[in-house]
Amino acid sequence: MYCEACGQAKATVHITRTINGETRRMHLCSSCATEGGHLSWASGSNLPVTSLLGGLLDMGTGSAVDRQATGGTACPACGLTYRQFAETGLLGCSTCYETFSAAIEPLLKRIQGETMHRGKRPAGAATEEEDVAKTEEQLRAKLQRAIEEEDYERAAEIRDALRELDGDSNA
Amino acid sequence: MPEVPAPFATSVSEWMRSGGPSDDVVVSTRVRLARNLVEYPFTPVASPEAGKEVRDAVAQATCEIGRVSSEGYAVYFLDEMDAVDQWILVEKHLASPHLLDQRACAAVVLDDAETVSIMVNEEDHLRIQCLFPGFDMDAAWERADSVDDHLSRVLDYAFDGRYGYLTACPSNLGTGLRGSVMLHLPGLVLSGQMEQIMSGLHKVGAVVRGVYGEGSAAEGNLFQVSNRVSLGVTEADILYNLSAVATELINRERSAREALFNADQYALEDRVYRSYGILANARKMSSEEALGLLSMVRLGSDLGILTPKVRATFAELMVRMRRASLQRILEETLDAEHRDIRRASMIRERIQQAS
Repeated sequence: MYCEACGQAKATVHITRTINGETRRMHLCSSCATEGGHLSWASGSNLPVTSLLGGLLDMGTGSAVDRQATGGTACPACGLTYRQFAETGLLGCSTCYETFSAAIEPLLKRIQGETMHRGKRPAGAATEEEDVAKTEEQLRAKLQRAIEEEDYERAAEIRDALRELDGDSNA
Repeated sequence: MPEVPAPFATSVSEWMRSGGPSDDVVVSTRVRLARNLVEYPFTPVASPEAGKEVRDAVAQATCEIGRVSSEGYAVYFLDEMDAVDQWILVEKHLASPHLLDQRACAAVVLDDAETVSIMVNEEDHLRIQCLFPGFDMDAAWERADSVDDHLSRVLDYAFDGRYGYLTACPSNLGTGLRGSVMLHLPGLVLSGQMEQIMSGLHKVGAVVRGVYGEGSAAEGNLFQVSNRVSLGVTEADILYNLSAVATELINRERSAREALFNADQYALEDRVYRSYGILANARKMSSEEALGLLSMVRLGSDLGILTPKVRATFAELMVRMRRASLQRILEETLDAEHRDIRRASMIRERIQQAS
């Protein structure tokens, strides 16, 4: 399949976007996808970078993330499936961050470089120290589960996250 | 078309006025905060009913702020607005084109000076934007921070201790903060340095793009520089780094202008005066052509070749000459050819007034 925008290179990026209830799918080469501005979406607005994030997710590696994809994991709160997330790069609700955490952690490492918030907090939210303690507890539980499931790749990721958290709170 | 146009359709936003810090190079500074309400699905997957509930909750919250502080806001629902007014919001940089895609549940909240514009139901439930003239990161941040504080007391934000403010796209996670500086960089473009600078900026955590058009040949030599990362760093650090990048660009632009002037003063003056001559006399003008000529005239004004008053008209003309704004000022619907004729006449008038 050739790129819909330039018609010259092979299409390697596949993007889905819903505008006013109408779903459109575009097949692009990587250079046209990055340059987004050439594309004529119905709205005339530029191609959002967000739809390219899906491409950064680990697909086809046999990892825990991949199993979520093939297993069709859906968010219990909003019903968004992993596949939908991978295609649009957008999450459906607050709970999605927990549902797809195995996929989001490595994605955040790539696009943000960090996984722990250090900025302002809304009025009435817990303090940073309280949140660090809570996160540590949750990560330890996840680590335990990953080890029980013999998912060592995931366990290593969680261990790294724990180390990072420890480094931050000592900093 | 409504009998009475929306108040913002003909007003001048604060950022369109001149006189801000470093306004020889910087047109405007923007700070944007992405926020979501915890009890609703994010906008891209929300049902129309949920979208409308979010819109009503934000509208009510902004009225609440009006009661407890001196800040007054007007709420505009996009589905109650005609298409021309919707596009004027985009032309004035108070809304994004993407917001118009969501018009059924979308709203824009504006303060009197139009320094605050809250987009409701864009990609996130709230996008709090503060836009100031010139290079004024502190003013933009302080205002956005204060509006956010007020709203957080009334609205229940989606916030996680580890990930920070939860956003529809993970690229906005954490602080939800995007700072942007709009720079006029004719010196760097004319001296062929822009391409190299654009690739270098990525390495220091900044993203640069043309305000109109893509790549290093952006129309009107206008570029927007923004921070790339929003998670794992404080708001102060994000804005400090972005300010450092913008300051470097401002200094390089000033040196490039000086070098161009010193290398061939007559060539530069000739280009400025020819641009001025066309703007002051042409009878038909596309917005692309006008933007390019206005850029040269603004440069001439910054270098003292033309009067400073010419620079003062730049941001306003940049908005006014766009399709929807032009149509609203003239109060008639025009085809492309007549638009070009009326655009030329409006620019002629303003440019001659300023000189």
